[in-house]
Amino acid sequence: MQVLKNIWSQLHRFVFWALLSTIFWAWIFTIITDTVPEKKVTLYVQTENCRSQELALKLEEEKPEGIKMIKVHPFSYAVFGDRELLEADLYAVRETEAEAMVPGFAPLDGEGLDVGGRELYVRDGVAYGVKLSGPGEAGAAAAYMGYEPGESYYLFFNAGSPHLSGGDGAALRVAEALLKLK
Amino acid sequence: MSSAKEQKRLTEGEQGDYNRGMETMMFYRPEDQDRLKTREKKARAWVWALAGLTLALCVLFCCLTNTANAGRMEIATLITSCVGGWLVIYGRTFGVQEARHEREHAAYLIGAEQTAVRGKLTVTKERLRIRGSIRIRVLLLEDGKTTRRLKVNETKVRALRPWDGKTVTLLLAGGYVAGIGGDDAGT
Repeated sequence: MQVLKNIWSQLHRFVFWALLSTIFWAWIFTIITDTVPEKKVTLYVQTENCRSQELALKLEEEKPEGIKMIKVHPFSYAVFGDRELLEADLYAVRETEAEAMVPGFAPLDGEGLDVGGRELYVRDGVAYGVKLSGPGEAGAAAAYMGYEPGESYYLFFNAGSPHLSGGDGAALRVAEALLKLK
Repeated sequence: MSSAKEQKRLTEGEQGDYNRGMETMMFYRPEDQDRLKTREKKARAWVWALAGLTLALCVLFCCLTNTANAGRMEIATLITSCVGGWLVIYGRTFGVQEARHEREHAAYLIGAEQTAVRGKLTVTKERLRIRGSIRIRVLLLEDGKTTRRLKVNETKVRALRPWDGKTVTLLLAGGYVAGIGGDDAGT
């Protein structure tokens, strides 16, 4: 009983400590589990059931040279700010929503991406994306992506990514690995 | 206030006479100061050890973090940090600080001039907490004319329980009860 009274008398300190501790360690873990854009390849996926951690692990098995980590997030991860989303390298987007985003995507011409005979997303005669999955298809990395049935998904590259052919090409290598995944 | 007859300043020799028939029980003696100092040091050492262990565990979890276990490690670190921190706060507040307050209180009682007062003792349930000091229990001492409110370290209340409702002689130092005794204590 006395212990409970003691705890009650210090409750404000306990609550303050819990808040401080949460903020501090969340910040530390953000530092630990993240790195500068030049050393990571980030993929944003427009599905809700993506097994992002497992997919990132799988892609990290063959991560390109100079890349420390590969990050995979659902679009909902960027709910508190779109900076990370805009700085991502790859996007797996529904065909129905890709049209509006095309201005931010890099054309595939001259990038040297091995699409493995997959269908391309073409607008005004320019190819911007590679088909990941469509209705009735298993799709690339289907075990991880959580594609919604009846939707087609395409993989696009951020025009501002430092990991295209003009840079180290790491986003292209990760994309090829993703396309080969079952 | 008690009358001058009943409140008597004690010299070393007088104290022995005054408590004839019953041995005076002082709550703190000079030799207790070392014991209290050691208790405070031990409490402080435990709290530091706990804080160190908590920090070491959190750092270990951070070092073991990879892409696969990042979520679990973050939760483990948060729980360790929260619980460890709470134990440190508890230990510091109710271990180290209370030990320090008791040591300071003991030093004060030992060094202060003591007076003896007699009356019927009532141990109340009223508790006081002065910031940066010991926990206090309020006592009432009735001498037939007046009722005095006295303060005693709460940890010493148990020693006063047998005399609750009886006539006793209390030794006071600056408003605090420093001991108990008297030739007819317990009547």
